[in-house]
Amino acid sequence: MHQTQAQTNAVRLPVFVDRPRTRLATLWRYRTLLYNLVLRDLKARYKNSALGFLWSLLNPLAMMVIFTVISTFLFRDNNVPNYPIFLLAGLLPWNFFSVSVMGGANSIVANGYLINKVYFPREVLPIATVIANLVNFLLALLVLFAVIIFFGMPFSPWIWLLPVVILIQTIFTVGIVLFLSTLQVYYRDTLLILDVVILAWFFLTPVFYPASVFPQAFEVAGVTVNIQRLVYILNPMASLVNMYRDLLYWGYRTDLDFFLRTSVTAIVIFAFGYWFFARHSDDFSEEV
Amino acid sequence: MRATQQPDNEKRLLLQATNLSKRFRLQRDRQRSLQETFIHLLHRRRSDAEYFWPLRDLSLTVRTGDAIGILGQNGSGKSTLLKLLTGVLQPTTGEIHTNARIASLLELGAGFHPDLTGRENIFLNASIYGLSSRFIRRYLDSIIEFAEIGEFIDTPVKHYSSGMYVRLGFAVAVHTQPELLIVDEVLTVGDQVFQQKCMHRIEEMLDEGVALILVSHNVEDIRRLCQRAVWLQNGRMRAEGRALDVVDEYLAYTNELFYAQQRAEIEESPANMITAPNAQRWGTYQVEIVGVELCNTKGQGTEQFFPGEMMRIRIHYMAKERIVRPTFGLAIYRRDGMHVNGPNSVDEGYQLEEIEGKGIMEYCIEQLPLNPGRYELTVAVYNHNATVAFDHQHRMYSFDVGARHGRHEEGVVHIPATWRHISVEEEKVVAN
Repeated sequence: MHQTQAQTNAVRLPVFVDRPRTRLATLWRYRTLLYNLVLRDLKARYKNSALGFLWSLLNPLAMMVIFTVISTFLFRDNNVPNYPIFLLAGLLPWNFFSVSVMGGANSIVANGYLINKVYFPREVLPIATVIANLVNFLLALLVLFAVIIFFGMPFSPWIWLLPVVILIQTIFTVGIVLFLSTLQVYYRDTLLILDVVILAWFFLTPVFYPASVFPQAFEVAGVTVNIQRLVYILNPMASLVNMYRDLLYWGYRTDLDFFLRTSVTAIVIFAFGYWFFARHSDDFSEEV
Repeated sequence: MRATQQPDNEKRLLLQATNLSKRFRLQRDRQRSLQETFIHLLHRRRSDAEYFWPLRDLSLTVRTGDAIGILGQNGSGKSTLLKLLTGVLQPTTGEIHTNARIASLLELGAGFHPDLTGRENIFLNASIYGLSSRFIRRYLDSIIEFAEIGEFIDTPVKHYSSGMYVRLGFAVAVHTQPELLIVDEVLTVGDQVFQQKCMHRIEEMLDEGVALILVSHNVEDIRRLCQRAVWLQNGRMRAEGRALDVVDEYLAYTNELFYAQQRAEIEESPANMITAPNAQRWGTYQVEIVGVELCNTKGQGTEQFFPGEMMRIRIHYMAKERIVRPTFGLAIYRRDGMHVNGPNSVDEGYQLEEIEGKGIMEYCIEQLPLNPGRYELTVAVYNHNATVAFDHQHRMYSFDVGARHGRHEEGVVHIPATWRHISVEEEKVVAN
């Protein structure tokens, strides 16, 4: 990254008297902006559509129908009972992730005119995108609950863990988005590459198929590898989808080691993303 | 001059900028792709030539009640300075210390979303300035009233006229209760009535002790609103001091620059081009106007006049042949194009039988009735019935009418007149 590394001893300029000491405190002071940006995102999304926010509910239903029909052709032998619930428990978190990443990665560049004119903590832009999508995700979860009730399946006793899993995913997504939105400022190829990467990622994550399609033991160059386990270790989204499914579909408490490993990954990614963002955000107004 | 003239030590320090410099890399708008980056990594050479400094070593102190004007031509670093002061850009070297609430009118209506209503956009826009919801709700009615949006406040702003858009933006910005207001050229937007209103509001804020930093190409605004002024040139401070002095100095410089350009253009055009029309000058050149001299009361040549002073316009001509009964004319324009007058010698009963060779025609204004501002002068020589131009030089000369003491009259001309109060009884007597 190209940074003008001169003897920068300038004091970050505040807009208000009580200058907070840390970045997070600045962010907290701009929480009204964050709230209004989320509101802007949500309102603008459905403003001129006839069905408005109902789309947040209709969209997952439509996807459910499409994938259910396709999967009956795809996995004739591997019959998953109550497939719509199985699918939605993976697809909804995945959509939350992928839409956030695609929108968030472009959030700094797309709001360049603002960044060039007014000072505000720049991270509110990507974070607002993620939160707006989180709100959508929560609405879509209502559809999933409705489907669970419709199929007459019992709610798992571990469902109270769901908010924690959502929180972990949100932290993970914010971290990724902070990193990518910074990268996009300097390399406009990021978004183009991301298109492909997200598509590949989607197929590599057990969203519409069970992870059991991967072999437990697979010989590569004389070494036996547990591909199933490898998918979970290398792909935090696979772990997250698995956790959602444990809670919503299998009615299982989910494994503790899984839980801890994914949490740690999410926090590390978040910390790195934020650090990377903070390191470069002062130069955004020169680059966008 | 403003009423808030306290001694410096009683005024609170709002902002202190020391030795600010900003460095930009050149060719910034060329988008870098990964491919280029890899090439860049291989040939990692960087020289100073790739950089330029839009601002160098600038220091500025702002206290409560200060009103500082910033002058300079395009590219002199004004915008960069404002962006540094508002925190949009970080200085490459130097420091900014501030403990003031700053509101910048750099971009009115920043972040307005076209699909959201005026009311929704007020919340969005105000929160970009860092205001809390509670604060915004408290001033909501006042903002709507000031913006004169009326019932349209609940209409999406994409249906607004550009005037309404800007009015709403201005209304939000001035309601942020700033201690320092940074204004960049925004007074040129909106209709006349709203401009007046903005100006009035800014003056009110100044009277309340709000500090102002004003960037404007309209030196009149700076003369009117500011006590101090800074003149930036090529990113450095060329002059700083009393606003009236700096403005005069700046105008003298730009006038000189303007003339130098004009002279260069005239020299470039070949002398034997007889009737080739030029945007600024045309004619048969049987008589050529070789120079125009502007003299003040003392008979000194100058471009700087004051209201009520004597002004002599001397048109030096060179008639290449004998011309019978020529007509000399001139016209004064305000810089913005307002036509002030356009007398000619024949219409005013001054008949010249004939001219040949060199000579001077003088137009003497005993008491200059113009109000402060920048003016341009057209001079011309025509044939006897003013149908053929020998030499017409359109708005090629400029002069400046300065303000002597702070506030001055609005408008173009000062009409010499007297005031007298007449009571109702007196008027009855007159009527009878």
